Amino acid sequence: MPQTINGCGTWYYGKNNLVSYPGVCRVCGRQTTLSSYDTRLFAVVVMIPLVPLRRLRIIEQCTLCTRHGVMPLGDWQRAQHRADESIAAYKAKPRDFQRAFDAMKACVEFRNLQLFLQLAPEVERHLSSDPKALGMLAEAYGLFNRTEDSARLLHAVLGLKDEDQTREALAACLLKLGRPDEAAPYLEHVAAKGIPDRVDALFQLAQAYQVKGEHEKALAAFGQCEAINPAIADDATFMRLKAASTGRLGTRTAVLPGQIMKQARAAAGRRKFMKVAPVVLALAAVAYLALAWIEGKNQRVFLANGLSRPYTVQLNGVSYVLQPTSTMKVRLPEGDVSVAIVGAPPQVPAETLSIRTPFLSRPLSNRALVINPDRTAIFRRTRASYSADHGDSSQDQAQSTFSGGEALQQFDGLDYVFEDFPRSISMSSGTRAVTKDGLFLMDKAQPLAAASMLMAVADQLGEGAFTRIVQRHALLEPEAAEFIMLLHRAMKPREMADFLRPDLGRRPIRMHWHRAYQSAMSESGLDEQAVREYGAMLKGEPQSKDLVYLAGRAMLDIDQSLELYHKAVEGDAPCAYAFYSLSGYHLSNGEFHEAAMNAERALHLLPGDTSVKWQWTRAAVADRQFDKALDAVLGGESAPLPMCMPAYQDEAYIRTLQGRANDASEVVANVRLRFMQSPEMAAVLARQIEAQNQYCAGDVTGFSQTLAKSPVTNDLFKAHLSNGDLTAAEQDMKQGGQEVEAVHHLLLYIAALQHDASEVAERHLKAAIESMTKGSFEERSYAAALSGKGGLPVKNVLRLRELPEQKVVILTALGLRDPGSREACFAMARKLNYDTRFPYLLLKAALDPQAKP
Amino acid sequence: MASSDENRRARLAFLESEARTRPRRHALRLFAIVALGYLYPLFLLAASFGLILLVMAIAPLAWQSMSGEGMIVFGLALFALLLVAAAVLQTFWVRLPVPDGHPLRPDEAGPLRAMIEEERMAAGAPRVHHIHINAELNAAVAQRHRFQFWGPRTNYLIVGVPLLLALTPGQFRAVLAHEFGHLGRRHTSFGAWIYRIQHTWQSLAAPFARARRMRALGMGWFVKMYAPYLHTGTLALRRLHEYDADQRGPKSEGKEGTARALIAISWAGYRMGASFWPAVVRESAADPIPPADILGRITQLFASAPRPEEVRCWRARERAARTPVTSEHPCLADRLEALGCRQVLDYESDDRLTDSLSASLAAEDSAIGLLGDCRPRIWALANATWKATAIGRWRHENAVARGIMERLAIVPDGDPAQSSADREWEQIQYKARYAHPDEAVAILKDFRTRFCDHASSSFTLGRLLLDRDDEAVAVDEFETAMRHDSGYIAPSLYLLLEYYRESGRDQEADAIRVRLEAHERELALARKERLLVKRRDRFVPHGLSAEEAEKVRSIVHRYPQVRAAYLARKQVRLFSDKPSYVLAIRRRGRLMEDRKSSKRLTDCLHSQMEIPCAIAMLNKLPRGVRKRLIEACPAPLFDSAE
Repeated sequence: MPQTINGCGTWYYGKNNLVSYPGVCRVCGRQTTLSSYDTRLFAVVVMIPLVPLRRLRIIEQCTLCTRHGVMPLGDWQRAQHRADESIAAYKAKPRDFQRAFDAMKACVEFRNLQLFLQLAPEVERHLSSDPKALGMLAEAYGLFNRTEDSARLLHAVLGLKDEDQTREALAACLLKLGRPDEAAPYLEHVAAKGIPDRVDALFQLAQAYQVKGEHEKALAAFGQCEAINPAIADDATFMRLKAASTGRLGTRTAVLPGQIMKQARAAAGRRKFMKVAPVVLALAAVAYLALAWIEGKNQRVFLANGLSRPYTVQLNGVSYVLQPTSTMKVRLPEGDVSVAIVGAPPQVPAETLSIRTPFLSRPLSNRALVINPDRTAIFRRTRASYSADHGDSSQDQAQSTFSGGEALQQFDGLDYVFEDFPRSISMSSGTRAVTKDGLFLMDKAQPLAAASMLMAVADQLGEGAFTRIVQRHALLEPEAAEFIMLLHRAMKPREMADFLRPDLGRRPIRMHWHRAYQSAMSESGLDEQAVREYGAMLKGEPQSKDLVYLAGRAMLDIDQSLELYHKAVEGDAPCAYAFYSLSGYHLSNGEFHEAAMNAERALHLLPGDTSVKWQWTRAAVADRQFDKALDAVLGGESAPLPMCMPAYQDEAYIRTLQGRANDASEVVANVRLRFMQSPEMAAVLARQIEAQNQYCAGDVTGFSQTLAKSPVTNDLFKAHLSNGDLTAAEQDMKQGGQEVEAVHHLLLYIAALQHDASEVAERHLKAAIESMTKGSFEERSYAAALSGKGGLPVKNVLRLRELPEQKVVILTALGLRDPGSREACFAMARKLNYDTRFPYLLLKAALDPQAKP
Repeated sequence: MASSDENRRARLAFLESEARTRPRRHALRLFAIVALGYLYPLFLLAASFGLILLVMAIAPLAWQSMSGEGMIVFGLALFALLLVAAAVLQTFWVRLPVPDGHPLRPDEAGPLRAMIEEERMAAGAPRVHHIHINAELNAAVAQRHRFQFWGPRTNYLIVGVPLLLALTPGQFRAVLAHEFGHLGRRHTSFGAWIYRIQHTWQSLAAPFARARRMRALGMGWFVKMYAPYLHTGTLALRRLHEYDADQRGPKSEGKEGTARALIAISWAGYRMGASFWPAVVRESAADPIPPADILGRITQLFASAPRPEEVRCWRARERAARTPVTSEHPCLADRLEALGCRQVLDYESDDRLTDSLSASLAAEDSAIGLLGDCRPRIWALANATWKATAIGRWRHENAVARGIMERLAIVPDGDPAQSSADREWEQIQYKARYAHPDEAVAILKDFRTRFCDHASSSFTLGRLLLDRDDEAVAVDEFETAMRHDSGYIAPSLYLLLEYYRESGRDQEADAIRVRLEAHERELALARKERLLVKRRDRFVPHGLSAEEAEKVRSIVHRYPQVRAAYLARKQVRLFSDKPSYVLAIRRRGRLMEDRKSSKRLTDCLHSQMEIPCAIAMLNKLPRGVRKRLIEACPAPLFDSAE
């Protein structure tokens, strides 16, 4: 048969000498029109005939299934020629049976109906008394589906020679013509003689009766079949058809045997399916369960290290080395898994995690199990959108969620786990957009410093997780001072003190740890206890300069404190932090040169310490050592965001102090260039620096207008306060969200007094006092002084350690509040009001009301 | 080469002796044979499930390195292996057919059921769930397990109507006792187990042989190989069972009663085989349809007195017989010997035998009455079933006879081209085949006096004489037939082999078997020699008559692709008395020669040729062959003018 694929292949073109007649297709067995014709086979491309191949004769092509016989046209023509010869030979001797047989065979073999129809009447006429010839002719008519002619001839044969075979053939013809009543008499001999190998004829008779709806006669015929050949009862087809008539006995409902058999085959198919399907399903289920079991024994688990140092962790006794801020894929059996960080402090004990996933959904679930032994890793789950309109993906940051702080986390529905989103993916046609979920570990590749990142996502992590992460960082990375500082944010002072206390005995002394502890104790109101504790420690180790310093730091009496500081810096191996604290003391008391000297010494001993560097910068600026201060500041600009932001601000400020306003403006451009990848942050910083430059230049209006565009609440507060818009400034304070510092209240107090808003001033003074009452010893002392309820004498209050920019505000407020101490407070405040940045002009106006702005 | 019958008999004798004298050792031997039969299926199961376990075991290693897609492939592979295991399991499930015969309804044949129940209880045998009736001279028990090899058993008792007609009720009772003796609990459980195992494997052989490829590949080949091996290995024990079952005759009859029953069955079988069935088959010449009431005829046979010489022939045969090497049932003489009743067969006078043999047995005296009211229904069923079974062979015999008559009608005096022997043979062969044996023998002997070298008549006479146990003369006739016509070698040897084997004459049977095997090898070579045209083949003119040549020509003429055809006779080395021809055809050339259509053409031509003929494409033959062939047939048999 010719075939084409996408219109290319071979095909027939042309139909000559077409002969069509109804018949039964020899392939599909259906009644249809059969066509024979001459044609040519072509090689075609897109159904266009290109290359003629050969000429063919198509023989009895079925219109339904298109199957047919085919032979070369030349052979066909030769066959017809030979058929003509045979016919001619027959015509020469028309009563010769053998010649008639040969001639008919020649016509029938190649299905030449025309020739046959020419020949048949002659044979019938000349051999009308030869039953064999007539029988053969009847058979030939039957091949061409001319059943009527076939029946007629068989009648004639019967008249000449009554034989069982002829009767059966005639009965078959009559049954084909749908005349079972006429056929029945010709099959009586089968039942009468009980001929077992002819029982099929009776079976056909029974089916013919069924088609007519004559079920009684059909059942009689079925009964005869069984009587003649009892084994037929074992035939399922027979029994089925018999049952069909039995069920319709008394009705004239036609039964189509073909339909019955089709239904039976379909039912058998369904039964087989119902037998096979459960087995297949069972096997599939077994395979699936086996997979689930295997997966349970080899569960994919990711180990994540959130620290910035490597460490070894043991899982069920097997060691794994985790690199800093990285992940590792391992396979573990589900169940209880013991997790122990090798060399961890006692506050980080080994723990047992339960890794369990639903057994049945295991193979199908997109589940990622992550073990974070240190509990400091922060995970970001991000959804990326892929669109058919654009080439790349777009990661929708708004749909990022953060989590962390747990030893074991389970994430479902992930497409990419700790791997980057591909730049593009393939989608099925018709799909315009696809979203994919990915899980990432936040690491130092991010532009923000670790502590700042933590702060940025603290709200999304939740209080508990944030606290856990900070604590774990502090325990596992005690040298990372920024996390110790975050403890203030994460914990209440007393809790923080309790958390830090167990490690106080660790040697060598972790200075940040102790300093944080002392701050926590002071904020908890446990200063006396702290003094005792450090006194005891010092007693045990009197040679330790660090302890001398720390004991001094804990002291409430300033002179005693200073004495210990000086002791700590004497001789060999002085304590750097003692220099640092001395610098702080001198700076907060307006002794800028001494402050700068001590800060320089501290920096010499701790060149890498950020807080020491910062102290040195401030002291140098206060001491007007601008060049040295600038060097320190420029070094600080290489720190990651947001640690570098104060450095840029300081650079601009120092250049302003040096009288290089243009250079100060250039800092803005540098900021924009440096933080191109974080344009929002760059914009904020640039705005702040610009505003700062304007303020330093005395342009308060410009300062207010510039900062009024800032999204940062603190900037807005400054802008409104500078403008004298106290109400707006109050609003800004409330919108800040976090607890308002006492300094802000005092600034509002000062501004309110300047604007004669005594009620506002009183309110904020009370708020400031309330805030400071909960603070450190120094803050409580200031609060007592502001409230006028006893406390330290003024000269002691003036000597208290505090950041200059805060002390100046406190002393100004104190002076305004207490006329008795005004002169002393204002004198110190004037000294400390050296930084010309906000709120310099506000304070100056308060300190020297007569002075022109 | 198959082991000789003598060797097998010696082996069986050894096994029987071992079974009698060292039963434990024999039981061990059988146990090993049976265990071997289970080893292969267990191996298949173990292999298929072992593969699964192996895949599961390496899963952890594979899991480590595989991606998600790899795991899906792993899962699919696991599923595929499970499917294979399920397919292996499924090969064990073969539906054993229910034993043949028509089942009696529960309310039918009360007397028969009563007798069965009595003998069953006496033997301590399990319950008979179904009784089937067929048209054979036999009774048997069969068991089917619910789940092919295992599970609850369903017991069948199959009884032949001719057996009921041949035996008295007492004798039939003895038969029942014998059958239940096989199943009875008093039988050793091991022996009964072996018996059942062997019959199960035997039953499996046929369904597995018919099974589709998967089952055939999985289990079919093994069953085919193992079942005969088990059959031979357990034959000794099963024969002992037969002896043992014979011992468990009904108490009312005693051993002599059992002996009489055995004799009656053997005698009935002999009568039916020697005279009844041949006479029935001879009727096929005249009647195209088998008789409607064969059971009635059998009844008449048993109701008629036999001829004395028939009794003598039978007795002589049974006295000389030995148990065939393949038969589970010992010969009559051995069984009677085991019962201590051998002398019944040896009596010179027929008086003792006359009681049970020479006398006729009317239907009302036979065991057929046990069927009770269902007898008409069963009678009709059994007759119809026999007729349906016999019709195929009947039609063939009838067609042969009609062919002979038609040829006689066409050429009443024979074909002048034939020899006088053949012409006269054409005249007498109908009678020689289909007349009464006595008349046929006389006709043939007369013919043989004139034409002693005529193969067909020699063969026909030899067959008739062999049926009469006139062995020596029959062998001579067969040898003559084989000498003059190679076509009679195989039929003659098969008849002789069967004859010797049935009577347990191993030495003679071995000799015939060797000859037969050699002949079959030669036949295979001859077939090759005739079907292929080789470089060294030599040809001579075909020598066909004009009519035969015209037949070939007319066949070739119908194929328009054939341009010319040359027919020559090939000189063959093997069986040169049978001509072989080569038809070389020249077909029309085509641009792209299609090997498939050439093969189709040669196959079609080959199927229509009435003469043994190899078909070859003339242009594909070597030049020398082509030249020699055309020399042998200078004028083509067919030459297309187109």
